[in-house]
Amino acid sequence: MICFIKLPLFNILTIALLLSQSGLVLNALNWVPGTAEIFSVEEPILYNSFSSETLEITPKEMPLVLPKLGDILIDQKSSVSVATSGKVFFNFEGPGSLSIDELQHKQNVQAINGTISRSIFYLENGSLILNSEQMENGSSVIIENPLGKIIQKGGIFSIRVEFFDETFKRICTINCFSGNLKYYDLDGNTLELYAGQKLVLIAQDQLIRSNNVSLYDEDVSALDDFLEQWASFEDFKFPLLATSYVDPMTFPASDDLDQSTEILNTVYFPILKRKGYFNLNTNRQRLSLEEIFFKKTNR
Amino acid sequence: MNLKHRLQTIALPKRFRRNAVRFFDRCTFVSLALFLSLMVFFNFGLNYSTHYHLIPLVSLMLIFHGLTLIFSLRNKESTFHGFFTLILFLPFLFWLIINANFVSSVSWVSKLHLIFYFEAFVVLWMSFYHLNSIQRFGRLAAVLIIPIAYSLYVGGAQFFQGRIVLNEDETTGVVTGLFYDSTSFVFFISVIFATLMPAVFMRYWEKVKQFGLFIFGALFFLGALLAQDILGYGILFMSLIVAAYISFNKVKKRYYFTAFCLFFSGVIIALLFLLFPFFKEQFFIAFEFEGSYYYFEALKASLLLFAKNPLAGIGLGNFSYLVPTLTSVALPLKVDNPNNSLLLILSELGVVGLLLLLIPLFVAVKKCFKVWKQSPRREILYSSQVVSTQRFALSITMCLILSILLGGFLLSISRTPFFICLLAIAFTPLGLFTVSKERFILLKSKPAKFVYSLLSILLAVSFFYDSRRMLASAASYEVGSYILNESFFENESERLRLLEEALFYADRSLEKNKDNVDAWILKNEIINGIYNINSFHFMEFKEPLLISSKEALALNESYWKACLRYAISSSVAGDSVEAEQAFAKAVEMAPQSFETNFFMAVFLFNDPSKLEEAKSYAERALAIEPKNELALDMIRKLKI
Repeated sequence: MICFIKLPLFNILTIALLLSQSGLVLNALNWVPGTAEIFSVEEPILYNSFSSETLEITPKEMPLVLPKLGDILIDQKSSVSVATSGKVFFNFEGPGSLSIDELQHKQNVQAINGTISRSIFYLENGSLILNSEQMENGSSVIIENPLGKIIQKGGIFSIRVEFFDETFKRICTINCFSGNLKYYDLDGNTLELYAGQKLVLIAQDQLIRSNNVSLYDEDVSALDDFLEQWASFEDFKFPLLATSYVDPMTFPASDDLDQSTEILNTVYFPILKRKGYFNLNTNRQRLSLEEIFFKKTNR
Repeated sequence: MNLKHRLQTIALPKRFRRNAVRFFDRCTFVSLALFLSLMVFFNFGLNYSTHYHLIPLVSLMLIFHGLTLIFSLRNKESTFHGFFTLILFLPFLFWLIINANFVSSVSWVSKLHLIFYFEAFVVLWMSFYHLNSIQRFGRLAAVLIIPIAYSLYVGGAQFFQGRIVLNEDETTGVVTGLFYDSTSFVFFISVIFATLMPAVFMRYWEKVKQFGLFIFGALFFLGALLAQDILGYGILFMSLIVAAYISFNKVKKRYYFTAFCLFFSGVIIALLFLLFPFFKEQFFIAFEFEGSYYYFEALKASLLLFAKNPLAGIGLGNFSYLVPTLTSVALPLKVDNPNNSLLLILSELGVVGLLLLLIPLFVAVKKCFKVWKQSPRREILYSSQVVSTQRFALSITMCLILSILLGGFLLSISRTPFFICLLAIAFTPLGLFTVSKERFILLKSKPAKFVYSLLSILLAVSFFYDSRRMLASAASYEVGSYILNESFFENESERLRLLEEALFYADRSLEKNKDNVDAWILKNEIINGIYNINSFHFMEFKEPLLISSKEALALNESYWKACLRYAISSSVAGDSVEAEQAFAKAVEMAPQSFETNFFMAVFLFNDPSKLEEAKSYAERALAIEPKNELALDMIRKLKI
């Protein structure tokens, strides 16, 4: 008590501020980067990574893990299908650009995959349809756009942002297919959309008009196409995180090597199919009896 | 009251002991019959996982045998027929133990084969003691008939017509059934055919029985012809000669019988050629791969392996492991035997092993032949002349033994556990007809009897523990390898799941037997596979990759595959200097392995200054496997 009385108010405030800041920093350290993987592209697209050169991504390279955060640039009518480690998958259709600003996971000592995640995208132009139904509880997706931002914590929605050069008019169409979402406009107003609702925003000469209506048939068929497309990816699986992020302290120390360059320098050795025997008795390719007598136990 | 008197008062009543002896004797016989019939049913003991479940029966046999001796009262119950023949096989068994532990370079495989030989020894041991009458021998044959008939039925279905059906489905090479290999199938049929012939042609049973057996014999002969196996025909011919020699006393009859059988087979084959256009395309020739034949290459390989260590051999079961180390033999598939028992034993066990096996075999066969020759040809039964029981039983035995031994020149019989047991059983009647001086009485002293019984029980327990562990490890390894192979046909996500499953089996294999060097290698390959799926996500797998390869290398530094995996793991871990040395060593150890040459090429491909060197290795790999897509891709890349 005496100490507090003697300390000036300014010092107390400074200490409080420092403590809160360190709390924030510690909290920030708990978040580790996630990953995104492209499953398909119709036409070659450009990926402008924030920390390296622009990559051209072609359909031949699928599936492809995106190296870092960056911009997906599509200058023609083409689409790209992306899934993230936060159990979010989406289709982005051009022309336009979608920026992946943040993909993060809350660090957990036991596990990293399947923990709370947060994703931030910036949609400049183009059409995005996103499914975040499988996200873990407490995770969120934020889509920023020139007319505001959307926050969703699980569901399916689509957003189309169009810009008309001649009239300087910008139209943003949001369809909520499942779950609900919150829309924050530039003036700070909040709108909540529920499954089956549509929101159209038009911005021209600083004038924003909104119109809340039900979904059209064509929107529903677009949703069906989207879901069908993802169902057709036989090898689809959400990208995993490198478990090295689980606990950086236990990761083998590599003082002399930068890990990223180490990955690039790694030689790829394929594994070979085991060679058969001339003697068919030795090949023993039939395993039905093993399945009967040697079932997996203690898994 | 003195101690002796006290012991006598607490001793079990004689009646109880007599009943106990009878009970345990029967239990041993039932265990033996069950063991053999289940072995036939479970793929002739070929599959490790099913063989694993047969081990308790072997241990039970030994325990029951020990208990029988403990309670035995009379000399008759403790008489060991053919004891000295059994003793003759002991040095060979000891040599196998020495070879597996000190000579073999892949010790765990040798120990696995040792289990099969030991089982055959136990079968010989038990049958000399417990198959003490012709009736029991007949009962055993009756018990074996059902699984044998079933296996022949299932096995036969896949050859000839089965092959044609498979071809229509464009799945040639997929072999199912209890027999995977038609040569083994024909071998088994030929042995049965030869064994049946004395029963068909010797005047011992009634005409009806003889006729019935004749029909069976003819069907077996036909079945062997339909299997379309070139080596099998050779085995069948040898069985025919044996059957003709033993079954007929007159030389003329022998020639007539052989000539008739050859004529009959010629007619059948000619008819098949005419009636079935597919017939000529379906012949199976051992060591054939994509239109090329490697039979003589395999024989050459066995001789070269023998030359590596003529005295002690390369190690039991090590044939397939050491073929890639030969410089002048390159084979596109693995070879684990040269389809010749003599060469296989010579290369794996050396001159010492071969002699230690041939001496007791020669002594036993000679004894059998002598007794057979001396046995009365005829005896009067119900005022009619028939072949004496002794001669009849010994004729069947001789046919069985000789057809197995001669067939061994065209098939590696030691690779099929049931065939070794069958050879062991074949010597059983020898004990029945040996002269009394060759019988060994165990009852003479009580301590000796107890020690003997105790030792057999101890042997049963230790064998149970060791072999179950070994077989469990081998079975898990086998399943893991199978799943790894399956993963190549799946998409990426499914592949990851399968690789994880395979990893589980590799770990379980190692849990059972840490010395299983192949399980370490398998684990290393699986980890490599997972790492390859996404080197970013599975970056932390580099460490276990290196550790598993180091473990494999520590177990066996002279094993080329362990060295190769270590080289790959070191390279993935970024230690290119260590990797280069290990690669060079692996190539030096196994110059004719596709894997060593291919991976060396992959490694050198990443160094722009060594592209020419990489190309030479890739070309060498391609020469071994001309159609390998990975090697072809590598050559294409190197040409760019």
